[in-house]
Order: sequence, then C-alpha cells, then structure tokens
Amino acid sequence: MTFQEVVNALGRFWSERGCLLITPYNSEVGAGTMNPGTFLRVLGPEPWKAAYIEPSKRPKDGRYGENPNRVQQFNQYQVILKPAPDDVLPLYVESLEAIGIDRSRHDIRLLEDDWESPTLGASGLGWEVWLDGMEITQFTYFQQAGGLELDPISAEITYGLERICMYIQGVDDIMEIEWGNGIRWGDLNRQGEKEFSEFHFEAADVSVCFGIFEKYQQEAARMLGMGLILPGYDYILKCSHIFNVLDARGAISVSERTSYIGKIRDLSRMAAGRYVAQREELGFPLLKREKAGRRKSG
Amino acid sequence: MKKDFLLEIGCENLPSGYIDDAVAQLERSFRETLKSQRLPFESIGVSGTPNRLVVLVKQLAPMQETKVETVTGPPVSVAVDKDGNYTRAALGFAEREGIEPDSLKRISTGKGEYLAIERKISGRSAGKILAENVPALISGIRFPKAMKWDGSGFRFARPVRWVLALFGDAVIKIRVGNVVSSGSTGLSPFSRERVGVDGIGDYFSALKKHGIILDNAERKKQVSAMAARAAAETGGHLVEDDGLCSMVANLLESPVVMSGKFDRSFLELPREVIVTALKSHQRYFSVEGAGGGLKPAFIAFADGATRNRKEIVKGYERVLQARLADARFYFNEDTSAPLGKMAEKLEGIVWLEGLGTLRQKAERLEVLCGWLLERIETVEPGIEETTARAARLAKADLASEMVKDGKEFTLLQGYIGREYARASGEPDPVCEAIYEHYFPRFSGDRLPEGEAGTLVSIADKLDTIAGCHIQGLGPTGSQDPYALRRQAISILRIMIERRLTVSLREAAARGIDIFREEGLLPGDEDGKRVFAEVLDLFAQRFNTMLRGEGFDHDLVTSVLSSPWEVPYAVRDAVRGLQEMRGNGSLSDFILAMKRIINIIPKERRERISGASGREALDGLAERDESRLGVKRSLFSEKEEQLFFDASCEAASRLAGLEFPAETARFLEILPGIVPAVNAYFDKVLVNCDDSAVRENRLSFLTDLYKAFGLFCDYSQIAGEQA
Repeated sequence: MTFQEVVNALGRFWSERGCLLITPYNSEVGAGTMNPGTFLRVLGPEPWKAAYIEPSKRPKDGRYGENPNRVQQFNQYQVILKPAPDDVLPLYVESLEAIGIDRSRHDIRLLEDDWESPTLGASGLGWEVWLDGMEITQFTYFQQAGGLELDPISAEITYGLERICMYIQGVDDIMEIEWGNGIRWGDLNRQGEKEFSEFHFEAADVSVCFGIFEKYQQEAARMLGMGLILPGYDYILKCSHIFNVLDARGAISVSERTSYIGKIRDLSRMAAGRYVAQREELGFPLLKREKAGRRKSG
Repeated sequence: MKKDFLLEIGCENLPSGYIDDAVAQLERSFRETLKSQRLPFESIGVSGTPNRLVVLVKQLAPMQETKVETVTGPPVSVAVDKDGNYTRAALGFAEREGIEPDSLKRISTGKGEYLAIERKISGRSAGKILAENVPALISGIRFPKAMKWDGSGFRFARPVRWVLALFGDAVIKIRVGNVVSSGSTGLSPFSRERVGVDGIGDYFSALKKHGIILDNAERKKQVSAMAARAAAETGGHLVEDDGLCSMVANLLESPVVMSGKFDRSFLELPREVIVTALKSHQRYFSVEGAGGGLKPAFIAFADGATRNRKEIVKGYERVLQARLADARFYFNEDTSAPLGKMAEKLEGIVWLEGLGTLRQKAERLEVLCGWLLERIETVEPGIEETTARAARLAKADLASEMVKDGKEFTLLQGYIGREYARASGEPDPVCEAIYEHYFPRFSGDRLPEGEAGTLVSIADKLDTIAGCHIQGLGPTGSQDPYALRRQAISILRIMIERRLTVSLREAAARGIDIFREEGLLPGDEDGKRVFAEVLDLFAQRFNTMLRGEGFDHDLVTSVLSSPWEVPYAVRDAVRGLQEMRGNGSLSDFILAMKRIINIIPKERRERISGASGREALDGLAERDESRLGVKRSLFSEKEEQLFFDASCEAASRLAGLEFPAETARFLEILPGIVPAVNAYFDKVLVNCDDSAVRENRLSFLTDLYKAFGLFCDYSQIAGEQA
C-alpha cells in the first residue's frame, strides 16, 4: 500500500464508522491534538467524531533529511471519538486490518503511556501501540484539556503514518516510502527537511522570533478577551510553534523554558474556558443535532 | 452447600507495574470482607494479567454464620422483687424487646446480675452479601493513577470491559460503572466477543486452552525459564534481569518466546549501552557468550502470537537496529572530542534554578573534595590529582548526546562518563571515580570502592543537599523531589563503612560556605537556617537508619542529641551503650550521670555545643580553676574532693582521646567515676544553706554536665531514673 492509499483506507474506514473527515489545520502544529478539531471539540458535552491527517511539525527532530527515522515534519492520522465507544480497541484493531495489518499475524501490544501536554494543559491515560516491537500509534483517553476535566471522555487515536508505511512497505528509510504513483516521500520532502533543519537550527533570527512570540501572545490574549475564540486560539498555536523554533535554535534556557510553557498554557486554559462558555451560550448546537438525528432515525 | 466463588475483572491493558500490587490489595480486601461478613471459606487465591484480575474463593459458605446477640436489660436488683416476681422494669424491658417475660435470662456482669435476652441473628445468603460488597472491593483498589472512560464516572487504572462473577454455577449480579456482570469472559481486549463459560472449572480450562497463564508469579517464572532456554539455544546464556522478567511477564498473558539478532558491528558500543537499548526501549533480554561478552542476539516475547513468527522477529530486529544506530550515532558524536572538552559544555546546562550551571557544580565539587582530602588519611598515590580531575569530569557525561535530555541512556550517567573518560585516555582511577561517584544509588546499593570515588560521591551529595536547602527545596512530609533523604543516608553509609574521620558538621558548613563564596547564597541568608536544616536532615535520617539496625530508640536519640561530629563514632557509641544495656551495666552508669544532671537547675542546662563542651572538658583535665567555675578552697567534704579528683582524672583521659575519631571510647572511661558520683551525692548536700558553697557545687556540676555531655545526652536514656 502506498502512503496515500493508507490515508485513504483509514479515511474510508473511519468515515464508514461515523467520523467526519475534516481537514488538517492551516497553521503549524506539533501534533494533530492541537487542531481545534481535537483540542476545542473535546471540551464540553457535545458529541464529536472526526478523522483527519495532520502534518506535524517538530523543529527539534529535524536531521537535514539525512536520518532514516527522524524528520522535522511528519504526518499523523488523527481520530477523535467523543464519547469514547466501549469497543474502541476492537475498532482500532479493525482499522489496522483495513490497511493490511492482520492481528493474527502480528504481535500487537499496548504499553502504558500517560500522555501530557504542558502547553495545552491537557493529559490523558492510554498506551503506545506496538506492532512487532515498533510504536505505530498513540492511544489516549483524554482526561483533561485546557485545565478542564472532560466529560464525556474522548478517545484519541494517533497513527504515525510514516512508521506504519515503512512497516507495510518494508523500507528502512523514511525517504524511501512510496507516497503514490512511484513518487517517494523523499522526492517530495527531502529538500524541505534540509531547508527547515537549516532554518530551525541555524538561520532563524532569534530576536525576530522572540519579538513575534511576544506579539502573538498579546494578540492571542486580546482576541480571547474580545470573545474571538478561534482567532485567539490560532495565535496560541503560532506562539507554540515559535516557541518550538526558538527551542530548536537553542535560544531558550532551562529556566526560561518553564516560563514560556507556562505562558502558552495560561492562554490555552483561557481559550478552553471561553470556548465552553461560548458553546453553552449557543446552546451546544451539536447536542441538539444529535438528538434531532436520533428522532429522525428512530 | 459450600461452593467456589469466582470473580474476573476484565480490563483493557493495565500498566505492568500495577498488576502485582492490585492482586495483593484484592487478596487482602476479600479476606477482610469475608471475615467481617461471617462467611467462612477454605482459601482465597488472587491472580492477574494485563487484561484480568481474578479472585477465586474456594469452598465459600452459602450463608453467613448465625450470630447470637445479647441485649442487657435492668439489673436484677431492680427487675425482680423480694418475692421473686418480675417488676414493672422487667416487664417493660420484655415488651420493648418484643418477647415473653418467660424468655428473659439472667447474666452476671462486672457490675452485678442483670436481666438479658439472647437473640439469634440468622445469616443472609452469601450471594446477596457478595453482590452488595464486591463492587466496593473493586472500586477500592488503589492505583498510582486512575482514569474515567465513560459516563458512569467510575475510575480504574484502565477501562473495565467485562465482569464475570460466578458463585458455583450461578451468576452474581453486580454493576461496575456501566458494566453488568455475567457468566462470560473475554479472551482479548481487541475482540468484542465474549465467551460464555459453563461453570468455574470451565472458565479455567477455557483460559488455559487459549494459552493464558493467569497467575502472575507463575507467568514470571515461565518467562524467566523460557528466556533462559531460548538464550541457550542461541549458544549463549541469558543476561539475568529480575526487573525485566517482572515487567515482561506483566505485559502479556500468553508468553511466546522468540530470539533475534543484531548487527555484530554494534558490539563495539559499551556493553551497558546495548543492554539498555534492548531493555529500556524494547523490553528485550541480552545474551552473553561463554567469555561473558555480549552476543549479537536478543530474546523477546510476543503475546500469544504463534503464526508468522519469522516476520514478527524481523520486525523486532528492524526496530532494534534503528535504536542501536541511534546509540552509535550518539557514541560517535560524543567520542569525537575528549571528555574534558565535553565538560566545558556544562557551562550551558543549568543545574538547579538559582544555583548556577553544572560547570559551577563541578568546580564546587573540586573545592569540597580538596577540603575533605585534607581531613582524611589516604593511601593512594596521586590522590589529590585524581580526585580533582574526577570532580572536574564527574558530570561531563550529562552534556553528552547519549545522556542528555532524559532519554533511556540517561540511566547510564556515570557509566557513560567512565567509558568516555577511558576513550579520552584518562587514568584508570579517574575513570573509576567518575563511574563510582553516583554510588550508592539506592538502599542496599554498593558503595564507591576507590578513594577518589568515595570523596567525589560525598562531595556531590553534600553539595546537592546544601544547594537544595538554600533554595528551600528540602524534604517536607512525603515530598522529597530531589531525593535528599536518600542522599543523606548514602553519605552516612559511606562515612560509617569507610570509617572516615571527617566531621560531618564541619563538612556541611564548608559545603554551604562554598555556595556563599560563589555568591549563590541569597543576600538575606547567613547560612544558619540552611546549616540547621541540613544537620536536622542528617540527624533524622541517621536516627531512622540506626533504629533500623535494631538499636534502641532512646540510645540512638541520646547520642544524636550530643554535638556529634563523625558518623561512625556515633554508631560506635550507640553500639557501646546497647551492649552495656545488654549486659546490665548501663543502669548504674546512667543513674549516676542523671544524678549530676537532674540537680542542676533547668535554666543552667544550656544546649551543649562542641566548643562549650570542649572548653569544660579541657578545664577539668587541667584542673584549671580559672576556666572552671569552681574553687577547691570552698570544698568542705572529703567526698567532694574525691569526686573532683575522679572527675578531673576521667576528664584528662577523655581529653586525651583522639577527637573526633575515637570519642566512642568515652564508654571505657566515664563509667569508672560512678562510685565517686554516688559517694558524693550520698554524702554531700548540694543545695545547702551557704550560698557560696552551694553556688560552688552547682557550678562544678554544671562543668561536668557540659564536659560529659560532649558524648551523649544521658537524660534521653529511658528506664534509669535518678
């Protein structure tokens, strides 16, 4: 299976099981969790089922396109199920079958992994999923986001697409993954890896970055204050990304680190709290829609 | 009829570290509950896998035991009149309890004879009791972390997906969150399928048929045996690892062992790097060859996979290959420059906020080691250079690619330092000291062997303890994030077992002073608070440690309440006191000492410091009236003079002891003055009418109190009352 076939198969599998196929976010994120389709939608009582691919940017992991396993931008396939269905683990294993991984022919294991995002004020309990010794998925029952206790609980399934494709295609180098139609991952992304590694590690202007971090931070707070939650959240994501760039650039000392993370977390909390209040004012629209849907089908 | 009871809590994979403890908790809580519910049984067995916690109660009684309850009524003196008839009090009691007066009984109590009734409370059925109590036993399991997963709000380590509860053949209905019990089990968390079982026997055979080993201890034994066998089949033998066995056994239900290989070229890496890559990352076991060197092979376990093994092993090998390639990348990067160069990078790593960088810590270690070196006898040639170099390089590996940023190899700090030091051509003793300075890392761990390693180890821990206290990060209650208690115990253990004659008091003061000299003591600190807290930490840990060895609490406290200096001398003194208590010679000695202490008015019994005690001791030893508060011309009794002479003689011998190395020998000297003490107090009235004489006597006794109090606070010792 090519990379794009895997993405399509997962999309088909989850859309058939009631997920909306939404789009990746249009701003840099470190993980699919930061897409408002997860971070904001898991808040409050409204049901939500969505699946999407998310290009995830981790400046520190860049290796100039020279390491077979590490890149600064990789792809996650993110599935968020709210509330978490009782058969979420069987569903997950069936989704693997949809991309050609047969449980009876592999060692599929769940290893305790408690997930925590200090910048999002979010945490959950779950596992890393190992396929024959390789981590291919993060599986998390969200407990908290933006500092708020969650109810209902969402299940988050994050597939590491490159890892899975390397396994399926039997290649040892990420660059060798066939994306589709004979074009390889490296053909598409090697140059980007090289350029972004150089940017993150050497070229990024530290004082410019510090300056825009501050501006983004102020703008995020201002937007949230005005009740413009989505623009506010957008600027939080920008802060988070610039922080990651500065961190990769080696510009943030150990003691500053904690304080920067704290700044982003405070904004995330503010966004989460205001988002829930706003949805409540709107009368939790998706809750109503679910009831209406039930009436119709019932 | 007695029947077995079976409970299975079916879960999505529990963390491997939680299972053994949950099993122990269930065993305890079931035992207690059945006992308090008057339900006799033959045995309770609890076992667990990542996917199920299972309780089997054998031969459980069908009904609670009948209980006889006695209700006491009015006393017979009131309830029965002189003709032997029941009075109104008796009849009222019978009516209130709803029985005929004929059924009233008499019982005798401590307060006399009373009317009473006895009522049999017949038991309820075990099924009902179980249904009522089991949910609380399940929710009562305490896990390090628990979670919610559905609208019930029920919390457990991981989601509970089914509950099987059978009493004999009957299902006991219970509800755990949203799950209602049934007579079915699940064979895999990945499957929706539930398998109905036909009674308890069938349950166990169904699991067995599926290759599930329920018992956690048994599973561990099998994992260990299977790993050893598989290693032998590769032509080597297993690198034993009990912790890894426990972890692997609780990561699966149906162990299937496999062996794989890795590229021989990775064997150039230091051994522990390979072992750690296999273990921490992948939970694989390492294999040794006949000569003790590693073989390019590993042993791994799959859960229940019996098909397609070749491909599974290929998967294992590929992941491991990538991990080892990472390790080799780190190793090559790190060893491309000498360790001394790497030590310079410590400049850029903050140790603790407000306490500077790791480079500064290394510099402090060098200073503190130098100070310690001046105070101990050493035998190793060139120890000064070795220690200084080792202190400089001890933390260098924290700047290495291999160790930094908290990855799996971070566990190898010290070891990596030694390997890199060797690669840089550092002398052997320096390399060893770098490795050893982290020891002992936990209770029962080995101590550093070499002198340099010993000194750097003490200096490092003392520096951490001092620094954390300066920042107000000392341990409180159950909080000790920097493991300062453990480090204090480590210092004590080293100083005792190596019989180091360094004053811990002075060393702590010096350690704090070095921060001051570096300008790292905040402006409003004179170091006194820090010093007091650090000493208190040592005294508390020392106390716990000595009591843990079996010494009596009061004896430990008595010596630790003196101005002690050298840990091993403290332990020697406590041991000496304990021996005296054992052979019956302690009483007389302590009684005599307490006679001296107790007569001194409380306000004059100041806390004895090393200096004030020493001043008094020297004054006595030299019979120097000008330094003491005593005039012999005012002595009026023969016993007074004799006591003075005996005390000064003892003081002179005590002053002649080597301080602080052999202070515990005060126990060989001081008991000798007991007859003189007793003769004095039997004959001499200290608090006499003549105020000058009285003052002279009290003043002399106060000198003795101070001088002898250097070694022990006798008033803390129990049982021997003056």
